[in-house]
Amino acid sequence: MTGVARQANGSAEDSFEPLEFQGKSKEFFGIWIVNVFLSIVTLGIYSAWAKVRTNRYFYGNTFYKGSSFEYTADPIKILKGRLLIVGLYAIFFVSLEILLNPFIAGAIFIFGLIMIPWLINRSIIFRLHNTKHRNIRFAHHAHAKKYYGFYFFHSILYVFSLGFTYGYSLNEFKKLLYRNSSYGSVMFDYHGKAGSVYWQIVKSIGFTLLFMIIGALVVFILSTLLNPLFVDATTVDPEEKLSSVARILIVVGVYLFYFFVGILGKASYDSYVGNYFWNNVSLHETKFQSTLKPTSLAWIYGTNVLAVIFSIGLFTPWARVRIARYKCENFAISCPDISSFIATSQQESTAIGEEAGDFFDIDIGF
Amino acid sequence: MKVTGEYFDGKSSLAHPVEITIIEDYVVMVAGEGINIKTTLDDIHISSRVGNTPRLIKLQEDAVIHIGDNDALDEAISGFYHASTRAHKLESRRSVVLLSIVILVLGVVYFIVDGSSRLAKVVAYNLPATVEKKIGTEAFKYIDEGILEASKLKEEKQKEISALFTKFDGAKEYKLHFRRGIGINAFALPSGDIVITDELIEFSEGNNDMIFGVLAHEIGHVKRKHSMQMMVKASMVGILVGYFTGDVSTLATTLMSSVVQAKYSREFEKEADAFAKETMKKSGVDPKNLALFFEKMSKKDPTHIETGYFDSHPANQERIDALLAP
Repeated sequence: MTGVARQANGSAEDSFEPLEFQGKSKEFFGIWIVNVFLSIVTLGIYSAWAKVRTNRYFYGNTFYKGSSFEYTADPIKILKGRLLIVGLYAIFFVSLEILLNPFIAGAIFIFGLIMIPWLINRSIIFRLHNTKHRNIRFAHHAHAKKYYGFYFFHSILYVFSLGFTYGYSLNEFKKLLYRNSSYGSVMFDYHGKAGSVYWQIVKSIGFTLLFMIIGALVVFILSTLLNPLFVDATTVDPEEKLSSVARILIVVGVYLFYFFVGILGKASYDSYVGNYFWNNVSLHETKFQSTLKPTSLAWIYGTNVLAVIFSIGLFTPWARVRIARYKCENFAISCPDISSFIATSQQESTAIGEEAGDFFDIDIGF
Repeated sequence: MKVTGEYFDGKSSLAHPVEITIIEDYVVMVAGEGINIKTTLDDIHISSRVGNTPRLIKLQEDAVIHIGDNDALDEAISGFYHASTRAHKLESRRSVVLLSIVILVLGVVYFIVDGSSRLAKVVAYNLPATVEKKIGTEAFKYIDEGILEASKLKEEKQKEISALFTKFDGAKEYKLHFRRGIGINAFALPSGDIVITDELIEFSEGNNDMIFGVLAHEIGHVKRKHSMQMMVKASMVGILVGYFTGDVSTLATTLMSSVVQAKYSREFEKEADAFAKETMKKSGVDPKNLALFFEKMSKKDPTHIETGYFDSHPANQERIDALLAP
């Protein structure tokens, strides 16, 4: 992978070196199962520690140029954030569903809505602040004000354009995210174009559609061939032409269809759009290169989900290690001088933002 | 004991290869090119072990040493320094891991097979009536607008059937709706909305006691909070499955909850039958009329018998016998 000129932002001197992931599914299995067990036994309290250990495992096994990443979050902070969010959610749920008091519920809902940009901001700050490489911290410097401005403007835009400004907003968000982030004293930069983001989205939709059409053709041919097998000759009611076996097959088929569309959509989006973002990020002279392939990613996602379901969850660690390994193998960095980064003064950050992001499942993704 | 590592001063990303020596009087020597630090074990912090990820020795002023060889480090500090390794010991001990698997799998299986039903029952019986009312009303509106058609039954017949209702205790809690379009069918919702189809009324061929039996059966489902229990249970199993699979799993959730409900319904049918039998006896109606209904249904189509919209289980001989028993 070294010494090859690639991409628009690459030059002949760039020598890209991929991340190396050293995690092992068997080893992570032990960590995972103990995490699950203790989280259940402690009614969720341990989950904060579980999260820290999991992140420490994945960060600590990700190496670039011989040095691993470091996750430094304090579980107590994560627990506090978690308790706050669970508490708010519980009050909301109880006041709405049990006390049937729409005023309290409405107030919490509006409060929550107002808090979202702040939460996203805090969670990004928390996550970056708690990531280190070679004992130098990452950081995010944008004030929540910028996030309020962003979400206010872009949600209005989104509604009035019926969603068509999504690609533009996404690109603007990446600008907000990267241009305010730093490693040590060096700021990240992002130079992606909205037009190209739209093109990546179109490609990922096209990819999904292509496979959907192929899938539909296969189903059509199979069903035509197999149809006689499933028509129930003994049925009295002429409206019930299909036997119960065929009915079950149809239900299973519909689920499989949703499953494939979901997997293909996510895999193609993550690869086309995700690659584009990273390929347009720089850190002074350091460049990034993401080479995820939609077909490989779809295969990994799909087989992961099936393995997890059919093992009643026991293959989860294997699935997570597998994804991490694939993503690391396809993420390369070209850094001319890894030794010359300088730290800046460091400040504490609270965990509430990041926990809320987890709880409400807002995928922020750095 | 000597351990090698990489020293980072926390001010720059430059790595200094160093050698760490721990001397018996708790003194730690860190030596490398241009680095010569002497400190004590009380002044450093060694990070807890996670898998085989590099360990960190934190020195003063943000300086850190990355140690790749965990075993060498643990050996070097054993007896001198207590680095927290409790979690790692659990995670790396095969017996603990195997025991966790067994307990978790048994726990999950127990929860799905039995625990969730028990818990669902407790929750369903303790939910405020307002919640049931709200859910039932919403569900009825949804089904009514989506699937059901208006009844074509004559008004006198409707009144006649409605009159049957006065025989029930607390009949005011229920509201009978006449509809058509879903075959021979009757169902009841947690809000007390009960639907009976024209087709079922025709099917009864004027046997009002039979209709009374069917209605009593449906009210039994409401009284015993069956649909609430099913909802509570489905969402609990859903949460559990979601927790394990990390939210990839609308498919898994749906499959799991439908598997669960298959067994559930049969028990609920028995409960509803028992309730119907008792109610019929109390109201002076012979329970054999409900048994007659099941028999009649089974003669019509031996494979597809639907006694209610939400339950699709054949009324087997066992249920008929139970109704006929004195």
